[in-house]
Amino acid sequence: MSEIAFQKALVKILTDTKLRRALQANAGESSALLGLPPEAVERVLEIDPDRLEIFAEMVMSQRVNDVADGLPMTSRLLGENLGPLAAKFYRSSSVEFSQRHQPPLEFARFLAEYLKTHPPSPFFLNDILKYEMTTLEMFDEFEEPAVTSVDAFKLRSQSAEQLLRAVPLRLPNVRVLSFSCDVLPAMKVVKENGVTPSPIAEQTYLLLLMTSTGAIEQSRANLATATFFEACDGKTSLDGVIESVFKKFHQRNGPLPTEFTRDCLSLCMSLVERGLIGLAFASE
Amino acid sequence: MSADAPLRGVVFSEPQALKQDSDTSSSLDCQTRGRIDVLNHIPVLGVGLSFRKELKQGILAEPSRVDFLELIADQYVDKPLFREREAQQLAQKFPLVVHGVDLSIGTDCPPDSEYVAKTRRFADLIGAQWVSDHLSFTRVPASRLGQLTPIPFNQEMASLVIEHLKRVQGEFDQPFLIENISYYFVVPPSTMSEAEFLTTVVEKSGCFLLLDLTNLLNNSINHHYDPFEFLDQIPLDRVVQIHLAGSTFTSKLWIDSHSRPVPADVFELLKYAAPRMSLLKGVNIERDQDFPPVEELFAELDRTREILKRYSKPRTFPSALQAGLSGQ
Repeated sequence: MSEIAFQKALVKILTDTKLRRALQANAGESSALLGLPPEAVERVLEIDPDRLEIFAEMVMSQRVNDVADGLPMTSRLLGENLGPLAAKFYRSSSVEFSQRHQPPLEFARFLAEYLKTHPPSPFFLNDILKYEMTTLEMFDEFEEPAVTSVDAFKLRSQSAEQLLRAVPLRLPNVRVLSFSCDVLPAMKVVKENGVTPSPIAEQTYLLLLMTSTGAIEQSRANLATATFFEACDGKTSLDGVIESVFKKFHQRNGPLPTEFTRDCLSLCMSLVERGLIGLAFASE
Repeated sequence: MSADAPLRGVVFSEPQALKQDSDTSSSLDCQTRGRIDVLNHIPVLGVGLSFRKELKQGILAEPSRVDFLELIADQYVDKPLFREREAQQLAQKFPLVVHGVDLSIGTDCPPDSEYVAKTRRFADLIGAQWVSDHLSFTRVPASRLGQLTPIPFNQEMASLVIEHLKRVQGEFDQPFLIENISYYFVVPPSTMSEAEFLTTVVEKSGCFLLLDLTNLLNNSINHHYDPFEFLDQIPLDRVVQIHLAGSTFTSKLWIDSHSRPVPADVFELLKYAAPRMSLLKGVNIERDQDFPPVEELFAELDRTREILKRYSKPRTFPSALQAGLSGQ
């Protein structure tokens, strides 16, 4: 028997409590049923069972800690439920994580699915989870920003017609999120006091930017800004973006009010200057 | 194991007669002698800390209190570039060493060449003085355990590890160190003692040792052996770095939690071993959780320096170490 065969059996036994109990009760039958080499199982069972159990608990505890490190606020809100949910996640996960940074993000996705059928408590748990999951995704997908500075003077010297023909695009490392409550003060309370706050239910939006140092800058936004930002797909010209935003709010066709177009142009330039969207002009 | 109580049930023994350098060098092969030559050109770093983001502010506020930093490779490899930039910024202020946790050398799969290459790239990027990892396994194909898991102490495993270490060392320009872990169960079939196993691996592979004295103490209590005898049995003249940390007593075992101050018993082991570690370049404290005010950690570093200053014998320690300590 190769050492790797033994170690595979050991890993499986350490990470599966039910299997461990079954093997301790009836090694021969269980090892055959579970596809483990009998000689590997026999060797594992020579290990002091109490100490094996302690180590198995350490393995699980480390896995829970890995999740908590990646999702600290969500973990605080889950409280005692974190351990059982993490155990459920690892049991159900078909992916054997090969990289250390995967588990917290995969657990976040698992939890988001779980909360669809199990009402979250507190009600804003989904919001906190969404925030933390998004920051993990941003970390994972981080791109070094292009070293270009916005020429504000050039930007503002463009005519409205030139701007409307330009194509806005969402820059990497930026996300817009919607929440069911004012999540910023809620997160502050969870982080600083470790207690569960009682935010008021109201739709809020945040624009998140991961900077070149990995810090997250966040700005409050409203529905209109969030909608505009989402519409900047890098293919549609600015006038097309403005038109699509207008239709979403006004549900009608026809010429756009001048004031609406002017407000959108102003918003666009503000987002460009803050490094949240880019703007490609026709000559580029 | 209280902070100041002596070890129970352990007989303190007098240090053995010091080996002469010629006794050691005559048994070394050419490659190992070459590696020792490389090591001799590395300055003695002194007493440092394992770098954790929770400690960053305190360390940067008083950099003169810390002689060097140990970075965990896995926190920088395969991470966004801003993590590498942070490490490069630290390299401008501190000598650095790199500590891996996922080499998983104790298995019959060959070492992960990608992991080794990425660790090497990172070590070169930050000018690391040396690189280390653990004498354990942490993963099998497509499955990470996430814990340093023990391996059997027998000749077959020793041969595997030696072969792997020879290959891994060849991939680094820097010296490579292997660390002893805390293990909570013995993996069968173990036909050698831990000291024999460690000695065989170090001497036959030609690598160097990162001696974790806290792990030694934990293992000696958990597995009922004398840690001082252990120190007498291993090649202390191959120790380049020492780890110190505090453990917790849970479920009748001492666990390597890195969550408490370094206990007095560990410092006793340091006092015992220090005079015989002719290649010692650095001692660092590991703290991973329950972080105290950083001044407490600095005080532990100062205590470590005082012990090294008092218990080293000038004729066996490189003069550079004495000069470094006197500069504190």
